[in-house]
Amino acid sequence: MSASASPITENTNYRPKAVDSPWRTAWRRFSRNRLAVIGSILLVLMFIICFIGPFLSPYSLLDYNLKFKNLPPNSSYWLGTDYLGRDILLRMMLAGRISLLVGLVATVISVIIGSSLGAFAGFYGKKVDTFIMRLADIFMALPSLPILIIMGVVLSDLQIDPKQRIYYLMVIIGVLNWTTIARLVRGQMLTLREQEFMQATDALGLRDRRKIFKHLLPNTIPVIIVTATLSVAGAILSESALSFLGVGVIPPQPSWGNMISAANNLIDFSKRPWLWIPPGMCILITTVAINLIGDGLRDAMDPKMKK
Amino acid sequence: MKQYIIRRLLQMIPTLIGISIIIFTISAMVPGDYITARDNPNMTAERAAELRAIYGLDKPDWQRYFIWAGNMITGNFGTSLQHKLPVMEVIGEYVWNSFIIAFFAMILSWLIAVLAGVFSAKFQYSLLDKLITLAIFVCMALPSFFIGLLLIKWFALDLKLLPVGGMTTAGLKGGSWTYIWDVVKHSILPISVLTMLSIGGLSRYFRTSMLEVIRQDYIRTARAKGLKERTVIFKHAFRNAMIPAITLLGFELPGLFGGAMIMEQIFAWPGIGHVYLNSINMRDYPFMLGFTIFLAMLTLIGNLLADLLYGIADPRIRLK
Repeated sequence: MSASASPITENTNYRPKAVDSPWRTAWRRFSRNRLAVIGSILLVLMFIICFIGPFLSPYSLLDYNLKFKNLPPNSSYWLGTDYLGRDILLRMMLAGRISLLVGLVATVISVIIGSSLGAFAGFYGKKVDTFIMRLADIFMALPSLPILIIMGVVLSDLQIDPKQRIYYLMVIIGVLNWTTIARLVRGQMLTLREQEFMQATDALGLRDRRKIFKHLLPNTIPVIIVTATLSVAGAILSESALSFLGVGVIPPQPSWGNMISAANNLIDFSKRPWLWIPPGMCILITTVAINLIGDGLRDAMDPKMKK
Repeated sequence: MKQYIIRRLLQMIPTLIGISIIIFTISAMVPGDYITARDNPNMTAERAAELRAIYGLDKPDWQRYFIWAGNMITGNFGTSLQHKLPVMEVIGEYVWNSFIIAFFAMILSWLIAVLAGVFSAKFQYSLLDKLITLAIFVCMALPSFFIGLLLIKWFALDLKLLPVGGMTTAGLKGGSWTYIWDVVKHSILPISVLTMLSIGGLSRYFRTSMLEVIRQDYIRTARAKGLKERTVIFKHAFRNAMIPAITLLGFELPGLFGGAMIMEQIFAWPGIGHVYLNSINMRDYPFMLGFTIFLAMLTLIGNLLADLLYGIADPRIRLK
């Protein structure tokens, strides 16, 4: 943006827009998309509330105060309390930390697996490609929810500590989701590897690993970012569904999903909606926000991808 | 065409083997089995061992895999321990309950999604388009179980308009029409939630393909020769826009027969997904494994069907 520094000549419309980096262009397109901006604001707010909010709360999760159990929302407990007298707002924020983290880390895992397998498949072609894509076929045909539930049951039966269980969940959800990214990256690789800059890397005698990770994969980043953003929402939904069924994040660790499972109790369900509606709204807001952002990113980074 | 189908079917074999290995390995990781899960205090160690021998649970895992996989090739998916019936019979018994809601949800969601897609493409960037887009995003992001619970709370508990769950009212008297009406009332909520869940992706798909078609030359020609806008949109554009969408019909297959696990659980709908969740709690391996393989097969066949439909709908596509 050197336009403001140099005097603009009167008779040309030329502005040095051409020097804009693709990232800057993408950012400009993104920030003009109102829905995407709203989504980003919502998501940032959600993160701030969940990660900073608990420090401002006067309560702690260890405050078992049975005198104050099952209170409806009031001035000291903004969202009421649960059957142990714990503050719902605090629990919900801590649950948010876990749910958001599970979603993010699971996606990072699937991006790492997906993009490297996709890159290898596209770069080496032939047998490597056939093998990896066959593997992808297998994973695509696996019914994901049933498998996730079985895995959750396995975790319960192995009696894994609720704290560690979260990490297992991240890995499981991440590993089951690598195929979409792998396919996209492979597709991009197939076209990228035929381009001239790859001949340049050949001429320079670069090693395969360097070619893939330094020259090819960076070119697929827009695709990866868009898909990854959307899959964070998917991962959060998977986690919450599992936790709701009691095989995901389990108490005492709070998660939005397992807070909603309070609704399995008929009295809590009908008479104490403050127990399960707020966490549900959190999931809804987060996933809608992520979808809006993902769509905005798709329009901003690669209009061709728009579907 | 025939060759193509045969080749695709043959290609499914290694995929199915892979899937069966993965599924079996996961289930073999579960400590405890059907015998321990039943938690019968009268069970002596001898009797337990005897039962394990009958059910083949005493053999090492790899042997059990080959026995199980071998049986499956002959069409024998094993016997459900919980229902004491062949797995396929259990599936056959409950799958239609799932099919009812899945089928109506599919029809509804296709109808609504087509309309939403066509109109938001026709009036691209208008307020209508933006509202539809937002609604679609909300639908795509819905946590199914939460929305199900909310609807039950509002419509069944607060307004008392609809039943809370199940498929029929217990002890209902009357003819077959009363029965059908009862089932309809019970199915309204699950069908609406299922519809909402699948509407999002579909209408985005229709909108994109409609937008692509609207910009084609032949649409301009149709307008230029003075056809009514309605004819242009619904006859010329719509039909062509639906070609890629036909592929999606194939992908609906697993959804139609696979049961909506979480929905059926929440609405206590006696479908196959509900039975499956129970079978996991009971450690009913033969059923768990058999049904998961059944789902995987549906997915594979659905994919094949999608490709075939595409070839049939669009003569420009040649399947090789």
